[in-house]
Amino acid sequence: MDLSAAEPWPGDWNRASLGLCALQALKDGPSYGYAIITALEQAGLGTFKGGTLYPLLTRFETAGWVEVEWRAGESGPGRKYFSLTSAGRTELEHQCQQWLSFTQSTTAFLAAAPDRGVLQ
Amino acid sequence: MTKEQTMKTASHKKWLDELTLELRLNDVSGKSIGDTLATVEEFLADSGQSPEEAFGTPRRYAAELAGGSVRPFRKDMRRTLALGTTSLVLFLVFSAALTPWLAGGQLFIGGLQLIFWVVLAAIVVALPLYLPFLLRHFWAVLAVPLIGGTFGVFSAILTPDTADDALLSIPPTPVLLISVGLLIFLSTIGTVLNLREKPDPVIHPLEDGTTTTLKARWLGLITEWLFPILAVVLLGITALFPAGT
Repeated sequence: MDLSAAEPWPGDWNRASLGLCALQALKDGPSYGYAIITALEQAGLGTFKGGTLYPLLTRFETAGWVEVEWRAGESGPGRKYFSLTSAGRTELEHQCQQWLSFTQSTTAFLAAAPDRGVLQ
Repeated sequence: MTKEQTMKTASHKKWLDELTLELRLNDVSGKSIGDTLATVEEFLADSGQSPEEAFGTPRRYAAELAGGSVRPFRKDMRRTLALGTTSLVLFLVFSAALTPWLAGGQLFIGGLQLIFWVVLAAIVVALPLYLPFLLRHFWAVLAVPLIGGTFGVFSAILTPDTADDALLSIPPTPVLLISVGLLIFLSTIGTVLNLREKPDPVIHPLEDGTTTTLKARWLGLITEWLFPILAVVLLGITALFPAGT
């Protein structure tokens, strides 16, 4: 069952995973804002606004994880392409490992016996 | 272009203008502002969304971008306005001293008139507290010269006619010379700072912004000398049309 289609993910989950997913969306090569948001949406991760994505990408640029390049558009206003730097690739790998470890711990905790909790 | 498209473009432009102002208030450089505006335009063209839908309010979006450490730029907007408003006060003092100087009399200052001047000075000193509000509301920006003008008119009306009604009776020449001297001094300071300051126009990332820089610089320099120019004009008018003629 595609849960994301039936009900949006909680906003906190989206905010927590957006950075990592945005980096992942740039893994295969340079991309621009709307294409990144569309890729995330098509992957069932939810709907994101430009006002949420761009400040994040600006922070990544400041951190040296992404670099930008403006390319003239054929008829539109031009496009700002973001691409991963080598530091960005290292960060992506590191965050991926952390995320997998975190979700494994969360899944294990959720699947554990219900009597775990406050010690008697 | 259809009527709907025209309205949409006007609405986008208004939002982008507000965003520019908010980014300026957050000390963001013209280059970064140009980059941000182009990014917004690109996203709106791609998504077909309205600016509010995609980015929220200009104020909030600018705050988020500034929090994301868009390259800061040291431009002291308060300095420009402090020089401008201090010049306005000096200009009012100059205009009060001008008529008695031309008539060869004394400059009389009444108690109420003095209170008006103190209130005006307090408004000027407190300017940094309400400057963002003024800049965000166009009607408020218009209100500043209106209030300044009203103070000037009231100050002129409240000028005592005789020495008996005046709280202070002073020779107008030193007041006139000091106010003119200070006006020229402040304009010179403003000009020097303006010339030293690196121009910071909003530049689109795919365009060369050097052509607009020269015009903006000249406009800035003329603005620095606005009050001395107005003082000369006022002197000419008062000399040509003395009070009572």
